[in-house]
Amino acid sequence: MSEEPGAGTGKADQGTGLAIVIRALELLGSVFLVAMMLLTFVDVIGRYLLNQPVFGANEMISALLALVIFSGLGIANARDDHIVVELMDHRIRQLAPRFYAVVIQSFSVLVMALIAFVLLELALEAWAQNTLTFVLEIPLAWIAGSVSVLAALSVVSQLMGIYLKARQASRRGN
Amino acid sequence: MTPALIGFAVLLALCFAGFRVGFATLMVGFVGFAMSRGWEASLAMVGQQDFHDALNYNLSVIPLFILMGVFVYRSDVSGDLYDAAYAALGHLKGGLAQATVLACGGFSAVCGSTLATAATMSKVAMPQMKAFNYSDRLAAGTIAAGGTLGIMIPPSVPLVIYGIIAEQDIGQLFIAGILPGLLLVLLFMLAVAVMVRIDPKAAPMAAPLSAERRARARRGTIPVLTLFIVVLGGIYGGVFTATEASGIGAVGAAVIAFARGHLRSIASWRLCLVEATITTAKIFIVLFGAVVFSQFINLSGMPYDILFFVADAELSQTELVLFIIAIALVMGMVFESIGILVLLVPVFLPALVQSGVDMIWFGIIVVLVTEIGLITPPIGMNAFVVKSVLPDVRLADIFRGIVPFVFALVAGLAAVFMIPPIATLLVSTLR
Repeated sequence: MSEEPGAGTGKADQGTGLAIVIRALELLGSVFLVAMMLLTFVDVIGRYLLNQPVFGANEMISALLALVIFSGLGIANARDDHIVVELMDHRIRQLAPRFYAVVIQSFSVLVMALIAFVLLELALEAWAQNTLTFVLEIPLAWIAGSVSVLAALSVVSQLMGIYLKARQASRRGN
Repeated sequence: MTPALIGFAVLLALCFAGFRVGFATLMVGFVGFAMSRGWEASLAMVGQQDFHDALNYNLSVIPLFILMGVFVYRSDVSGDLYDAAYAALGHLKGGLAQATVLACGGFSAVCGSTLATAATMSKVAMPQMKAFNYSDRLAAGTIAAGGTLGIMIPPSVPLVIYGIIAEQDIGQLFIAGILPGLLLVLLFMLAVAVMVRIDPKAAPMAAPLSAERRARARRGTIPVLTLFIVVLGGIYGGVFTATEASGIGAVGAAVIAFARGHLRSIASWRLCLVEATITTAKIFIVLFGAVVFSQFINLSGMPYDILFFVADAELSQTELVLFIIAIALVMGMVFESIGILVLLVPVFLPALVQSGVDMIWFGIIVVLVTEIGLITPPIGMNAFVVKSVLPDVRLADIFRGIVPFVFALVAGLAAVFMIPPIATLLVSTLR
């Protein structure tokens, strides 16, 4: 079980549109992660040394976690950088490489679209019910909405990544 | 139980066929759940489960410890850790291999990644061992096996994931991992000693380390050891939770990296942050799939069928855990640690709890089993990582060199199995 070979090399990022999407996701993910790290640190220092924890830090950290995950998914999807069991897949791929790629990638897109869809439904539901978080009373729809937008963006980046790889493959074929 | 067995069969088929593990697990769980409760209910379940996990405060330890590991990895501290171990053990027979084991243990304690440890130590330790004509088999086998220490020595991502699935305290799991981790270091060192005893030519004596390198190693190692002590000592002393420790650890690692001349440009920050973000996403998509799949498994009644089976068969605690170890060993041939944990633990959880098994001890046992899978064929990821960094070394030599360490791991597993206090002693002093 491993990552796909070549994963994370960023070779699939050469297309301009995809490069922009990935750079944006990298920037977002980095900002969210730094914010999460600093918030956790400041909260601990504030709590134990100054007896003054950051109000609602847990909720903010939770929201940042979701944002980090879905920013990262956009990049991982574009590069098809996911955990795979590499035992027999190459043998199956050899039988019909193009068909194999279409099936595997379509499946991944379908599942990611499913996740984006259910998160969007959740956001709309939270919006309709005006659900708030417990401590900071932030509308849950904002968080769920942001996460569902990132999930949708990761489907787009996934499709762009597939298109780019297919184009590169057909060029090599020519 | 039949739907669950079909679900497992389909999932295995999809994974073997090369479908991405996280996506395959999620889809099988979604369809399986829908088959008995309908599509609407299944859609709602996927949304609730995944959103709940994505917003789980306790899970924020994963990206923060990953970030800590990336910062440590990028701070080039591995060379100093190796030199410190070299200074301490280099005068022994097979001293450089012993030092490699110790350095792997030390590096993985702050890095947390088995693959990163194996890759880094391949670059750091192999040239030294090559310079003194160590055999490829001993050198590469030691590095590949040493890398696995990261999975047990805290902070460990598999232990976090186990803690979430089995609803156990992550801080306690980290503390429980300390003694088994140290035991494995000792057993690995013993394995090296045995190998050198059998084949003394495999490890000629090395020259002592220069005073300058000793001093540099000392300077470089102290901050990393301090960080490890602060993070784990803080959890052990009840000063902060695992989540809080991860924040302290990440900031501390960033400070160490900065002090060592790294993280001084936006580009280097970006490199670390993006790497940690992507790794986090890859782990979470597997987790999302796992929680959806376990909902389907729970709905199928399989965990309770197993519970009744255990009661009917009058399986003792020991027999039940041995049975699970056997399954985990087989799964370890195919799946990586996270895959095993998310597929195996939910199925047996009710039976384990009902049998009164100490779930902290069981967590250490199951993670130890997954550790064996990292260096045994057909997958043996660590062996392939070492091979990719050291293309001149034959894969067959790496796997042959690993054999004594597999015995050491099995001995460690047997020891923790038969003497549970190895895992629970430190935790009991916490309670």
